[in-house]
Amino acid sequence: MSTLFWAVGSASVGGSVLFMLADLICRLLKHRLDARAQFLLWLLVVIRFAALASVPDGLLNVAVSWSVGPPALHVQEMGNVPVLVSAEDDASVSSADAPVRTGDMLGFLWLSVAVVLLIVRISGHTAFMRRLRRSEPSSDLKLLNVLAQCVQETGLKRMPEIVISVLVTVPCVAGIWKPYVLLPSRAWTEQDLRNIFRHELMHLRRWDLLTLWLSMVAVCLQWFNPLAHAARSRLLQASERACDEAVLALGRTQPQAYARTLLEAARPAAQTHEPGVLAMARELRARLEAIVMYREKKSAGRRLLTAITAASLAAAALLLGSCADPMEIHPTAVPAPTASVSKWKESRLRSNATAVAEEAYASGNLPMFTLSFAALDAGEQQKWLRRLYTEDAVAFYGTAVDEADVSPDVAEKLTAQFYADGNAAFFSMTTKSLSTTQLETWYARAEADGSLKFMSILADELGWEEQYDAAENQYEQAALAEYRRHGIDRDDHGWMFQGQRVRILFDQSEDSSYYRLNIDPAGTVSVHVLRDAQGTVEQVLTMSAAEEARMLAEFGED
Amino acid sequence: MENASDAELAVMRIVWGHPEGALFAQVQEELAQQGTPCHANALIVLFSRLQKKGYLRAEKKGRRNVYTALIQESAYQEQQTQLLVDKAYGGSTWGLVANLVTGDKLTEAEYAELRELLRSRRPEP
Repeated sequence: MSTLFWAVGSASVGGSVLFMLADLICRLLKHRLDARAQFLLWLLVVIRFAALASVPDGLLNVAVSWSVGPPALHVQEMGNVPVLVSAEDDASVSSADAPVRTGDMLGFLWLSVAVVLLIVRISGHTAFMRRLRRSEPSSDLKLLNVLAQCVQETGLKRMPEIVISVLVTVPCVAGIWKPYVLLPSRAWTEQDLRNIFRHELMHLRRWDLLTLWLSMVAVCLQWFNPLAHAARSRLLQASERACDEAVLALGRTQPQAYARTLLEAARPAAQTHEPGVLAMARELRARLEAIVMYREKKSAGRRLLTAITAASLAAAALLLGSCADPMEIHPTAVPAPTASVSKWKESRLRSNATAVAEEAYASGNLPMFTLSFAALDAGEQQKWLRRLYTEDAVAFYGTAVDEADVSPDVAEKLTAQFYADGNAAFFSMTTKSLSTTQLETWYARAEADGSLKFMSILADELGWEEQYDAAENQYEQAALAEYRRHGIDRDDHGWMFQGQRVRILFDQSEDSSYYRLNIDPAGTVSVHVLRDAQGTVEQVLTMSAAEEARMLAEFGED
Repeated sequence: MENASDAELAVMRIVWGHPEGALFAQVQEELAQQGTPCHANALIVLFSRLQKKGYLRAEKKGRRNVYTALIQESAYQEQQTQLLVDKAYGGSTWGLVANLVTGDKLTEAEYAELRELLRSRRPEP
């Protein structure tokens, strides 16, 4: 029990020091730190409050050891040999008749309250979720369509259910694994709905519900520490502001319009006479100010500042590590000899990687090439990928991409080239290195260009089969309409050209973005569709017997 | 069986129109033609609810989902009529029929059809 008490105590002290540090940073860098960075700061503080696990040799560990003094030693006889034994190790000192230690009592008190609080919170949440699951989700197609569009805009993979509920006075989200968007029953304008959905979906995208739970656990464990409660509230405020910023960064709404929605959504809650309403109003005002003052903040300096701040606070969090017991000794981890040997081999390979890769490539040794490729630096890897593409070495390119951790930036440049060249094979091998946002942008571009083959690859990667099917059907209808204008039609049995069944239908645009080859042995006429540079059908030519025979030979038909 | 909402019913009507199974794109297209366009994500939600309620099942054919009705339209109508009779007419089918006839809700042609139907279905004395 005393071990637990020490763990809680050190987490509490560590968290409090970190809280003050984070607060100082926020005050000093007020307008230079964006909401996401502030969120990360407060997340670290909350994690520190919740982390009761032991971190070896933390500063606090040492500090606490000093404050309690060295372990008390006394002489005890083991066999006939007198040895020095610490009081902790000596069973005779902590025997049944020894006075109960204060640490044990405090530990018991802490644990009882923490358990009760956790049970109350969890059972409250479970009851709420049970009620929510019993509610009928909204079937209003207008609402569903607006939500569906916002899901696409925010890049979420799953569509949550909408529940119009009397359980809430302001819009919110609930359910980590099966999410719900809860809307109070009011007459919302479409603009307000869009802004509300975008904001709530951003919470889901950022996994804020997990953060909420983590902060809840932290305050239950640190129930006695007001700074832990304050840290939770700062974290939740930062998460709201981070969502506001993320919505504005989508560039689909004006800050003023978004602020109006926020005000409208908060109106009923602000009209209540609950105790927290003043604090809520203050926070709302701060949010509104931040929204109206919003400018896209993406300068390198700001990013660097955010990174440095987060890194220093993370280092502080680690140094203020908790200790399970101040007397516990943490042996320094000794790296296994095998790890050293493999590191040595790795450094040898790294120094020779370029030469080895060159040799392996020349001799067609794919496994050796893969090993050496992985040891190359990012710049060299990029050069190699371009070379493999130029030389059309599909197998080498495929394994190289699989083995190397290709950065999204490099992947983006490569995919742009493959897309421009219309090379679907190389494009599909590279898409797995793209981020979801990049994939979605590419999908939108391919959709705008009407390039089905690229859309198909991207839909596979994104898991968007249904969207792709819908688009494919739409394109197919459009293609059919265009064919009909040039005398080609389709019935239940296949393609027809001017009343005759088509034997070969060959249609390929200049840039290969459009391709169709259909062979029907029962056909009597073969046609070749000619398209202009824009991909529009120019004319349809019938094939001569010689052309037909050449094409059949090329595709292995008799 | 749980009741289907209006939007879900609109989807079911299209699925019922394709006894061989309806494709996602077909349903989306027909909804748009009926003047109720439905976003792909919204349609996924409606399909998933209908599957959960036991109205239809989805089968993968290649890369596409084929949606087939698990309850026939006539069975659904029968069930809903029974619900209406129980709820609004205290279980009296006669009450419903009388209301339809006296409430001038049928056209002349429908009256004629109804008369014919009654004659053909009249039980033997």
